[in-house]
Amino acid sequence: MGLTDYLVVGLFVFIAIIILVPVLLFIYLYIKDDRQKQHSILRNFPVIGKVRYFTEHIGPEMRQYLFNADNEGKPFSRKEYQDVVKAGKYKERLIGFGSLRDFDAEGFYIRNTLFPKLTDEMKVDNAEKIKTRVYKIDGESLFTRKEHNEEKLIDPFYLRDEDAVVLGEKTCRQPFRVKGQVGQSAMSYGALGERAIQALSKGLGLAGGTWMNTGEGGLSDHHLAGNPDIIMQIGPDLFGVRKPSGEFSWEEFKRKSELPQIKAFEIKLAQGAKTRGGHVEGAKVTEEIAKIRLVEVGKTINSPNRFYEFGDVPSMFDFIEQLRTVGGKPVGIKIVVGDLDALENMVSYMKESGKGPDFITVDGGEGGTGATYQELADSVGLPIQSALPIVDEMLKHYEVRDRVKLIASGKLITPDKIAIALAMGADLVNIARGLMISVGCIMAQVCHTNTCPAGVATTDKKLQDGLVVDEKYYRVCNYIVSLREGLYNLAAAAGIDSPTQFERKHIVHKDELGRISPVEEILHAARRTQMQKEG
Amino acid sequence: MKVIVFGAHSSVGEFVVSKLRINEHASCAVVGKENQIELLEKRGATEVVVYETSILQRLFKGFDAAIFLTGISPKAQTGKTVMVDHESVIETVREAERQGVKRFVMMSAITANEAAGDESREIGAKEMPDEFLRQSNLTYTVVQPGSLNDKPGDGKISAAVTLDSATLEISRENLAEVLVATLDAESTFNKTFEVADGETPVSEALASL
Repeated sequence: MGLTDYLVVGLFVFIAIIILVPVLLFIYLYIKDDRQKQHSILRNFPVIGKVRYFTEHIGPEMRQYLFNADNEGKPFSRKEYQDVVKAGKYKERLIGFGSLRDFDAEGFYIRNTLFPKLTDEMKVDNAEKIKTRVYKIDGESLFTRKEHNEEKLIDPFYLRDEDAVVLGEKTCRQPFRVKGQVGQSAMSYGALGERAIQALSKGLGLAGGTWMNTGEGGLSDHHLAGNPDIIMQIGPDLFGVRKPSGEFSWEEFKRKSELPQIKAFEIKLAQGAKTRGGHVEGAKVTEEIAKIRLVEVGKTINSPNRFYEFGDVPSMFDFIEQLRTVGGKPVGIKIVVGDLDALENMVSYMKESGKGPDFITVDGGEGGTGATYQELADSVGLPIQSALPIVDEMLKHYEVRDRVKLIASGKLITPDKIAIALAMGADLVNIARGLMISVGCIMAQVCHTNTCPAGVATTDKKLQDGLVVDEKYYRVCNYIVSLREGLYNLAAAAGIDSPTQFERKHIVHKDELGRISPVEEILHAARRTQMQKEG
Repeated sequence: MKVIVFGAHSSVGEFVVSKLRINEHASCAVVGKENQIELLEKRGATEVVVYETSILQRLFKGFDAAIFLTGISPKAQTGKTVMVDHESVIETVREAERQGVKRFVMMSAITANEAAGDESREIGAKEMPDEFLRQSNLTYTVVQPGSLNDKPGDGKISAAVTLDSATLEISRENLAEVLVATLDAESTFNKTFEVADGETPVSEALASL
C-alpha cells in the first residue's frame, strides 16, 4: 500500500471515530437515563431531559448576569451590589441620568428641606485623614478595562467628639465611645474564612470610628489583625468564654474583657437563625478552632438554642449586671422582634428594676447572613422597618430610652437605607453582607456549603487563595467611609448638621397609590394588632 | 516664627497648619466660619480666628509671616473665567505691609499668568494680586502649584520658574510642605516659581531656585 492508501484508510477511521464516539456515548446515556429510577423526566425523555437540569443549574448565574433587570434580584439587586462595589473600589457613589428606583412602588423617603445645610456648616470631624488606596480607570473598551490603584488621603467623616455615640456611658467603668454610626455585624470566624476576617479587621481598623462584631464563634487572632474596636458576641454555646465542660467561665470572660481591643459584649438572644441550636461536626473542630472556641479538638459540639444561664428577664438582667461588674465594659443583647408582649415585658422590667442592657441590637427578619434554614430565614421575625420604630417607641414609653442605645441591622447597605433606620430610632447600624461584598462576595448564595467561589464564606484554603487581604482591606475602609460621607450628605439635605440628629419627622412612607404617611402609622398599627391579639 | 494663615480652612490650609506645627512655628489660622475652628485646632493651630473685615486692621499685629491661600484653580483652563476677589487680596497685602509683617507667601496657580495678557479682563484678574505683591516692600514668594490631588505627600517635588509640562499635579500635602518651607528658605525670597510633584526633596528643590 502506498502512502495515499494509508491516508485514505486513516481518513475513514477518523470519520468513523468522530461519528461512532458520540453515537456510543448517546446510547450509553440513553440506556442509563432510561433505567434510572430517580428522575421521571429522564425516564420519559432520556438524554434530552438533561437540558432541564443543566439550565436549571446555571439559572442563578444566567439571571444575575443577563436576564435580571438592574433593579431585580434578591437579596440584593445588581444595582445595589454595584453600589457597594463601587463605593469600595473607586470610593465613588455618583450615578448618571437619574435613579433606577421604582418610584411607583411603596417605600420610605427622606424629607429634604428647602434650605439644606452647607458643607462647611456640617458638624463633622475631618481632622485626621485616612491613607487608603482607590482605583482609577485609565481607559475602557469593550473587552478590557485599564485601571490602577493609587494612594489617596481621604476625609474620614467621623462624628464630632460631642456627637460620638457612647455605649454604657453611665453604667460602665469603660464605656465604648464610637465616632461613626456604621459597623460590622456579627460574622464568626469559621463562617467566614481567616482571610475575609483579616481583610475586614484591617479595613475597619484603618477606617476607625467603627466596630467589628466577632459573631458567636469567639475571638480569633484574625479579628485582631487590624486592631479595630471589637464587640465580642456571646451565644448560648458560649464559645471563647466556656469551661471544657460547657459552663460559663468567669475567668475566661475576665481575661477577654481585659483585652483593650474588646470594647463591649453582646449576648445573642436572636437565635432566629439557629433555633436548632449550634452544631459543629467533630472533623471541623481543628486545633485552631478548638483554641478559639475553647472546646475539645475533634469532638462534635452540640449546643442549645437558649442560654442555660438564664431563662427569664430577671435572671438575664442579673447575668448582664454580673458581666458588667466583672468586665467593666458595656453589655448588650441582640434580638429579633417577634412577640411584642415578650418585648414589652422586658422593657417594663428595665424601668421597674433600673437594670438592663446598655444596648439592644435589633436584627431585622431580613438579616442573617449565611447559612440557615429556609423556613427561619423567610418568615421568622419582623423586618427591620417594622421592628425598629416599635422597639424605639416602647423604650420611650417606659422612659428608658436614654439608658440604652439601639443598633439596627437588616440589608442596610447604602447611606439612604441607613439614614432611614437612623430616623426610625437606631443610634448605630450593623452591616454584614455589604461588607462581605466589599471583600469580594459575588452573591453566589452558597455560604452554607463551604464552596464560596470568592473565598469569603469558606475555610477552604484553595478557594481563599483568591482573596488578597492587602488589596481587599482598602475596599472595606473605602466602603465604610463612603457610607459615613453619604450620611452627612443626607443630613445636609434634611437640614440637620449631623446624622446623629435624624428623627422620625425626617422620613415618610409612600404607598403604591402615592399616599404618604408618617412613621407613627406603623406604631398605631402595631398597637392595634397587639390589642386584637390580647382581646 | 509666628505665622498667620489666610484661607486655613481650605483643603491645603489644613495641611499647612499641621506642617507649621511639625516645624515648630506658632500659627494663627484665619477661617471663614466658626464651625471650622475645631478642625484647625485638631490640626495643630495655636489659635484660630474667624475672619471679619472689621478685624483686618489689627489682624497681622505681632506676626512675622503670612501664608495666603487663594482659591485659584489651575484646572480652570486657558480662557475660563476664574473668580478671585483680587480687590480683597490686594487689601490684605496692603494691611500686612502696614502692620509690619516681613514675610508673605502666596499660593497662586500655574495658570495665573495667562490672565495677564488679557486686557479685556474677561477671564478674571488672577495675576493682579501676584503683581501687587511683587511691587510691595514685603519679602514675598509666590508659589504656583499645578493641579492639586489627594495623594499622600512624599516630600518630593520639582520646582522652577517655569516647569515644562502641560499636565502637572501636586499633592496637597506636598504643596503645604513647600509653602511652609519657603518661609525661611532664602533662595525663594522675592521670587515666583512653579511647583509639582517630582523627584527632589523639598529643601533641595527650593535651594536650587
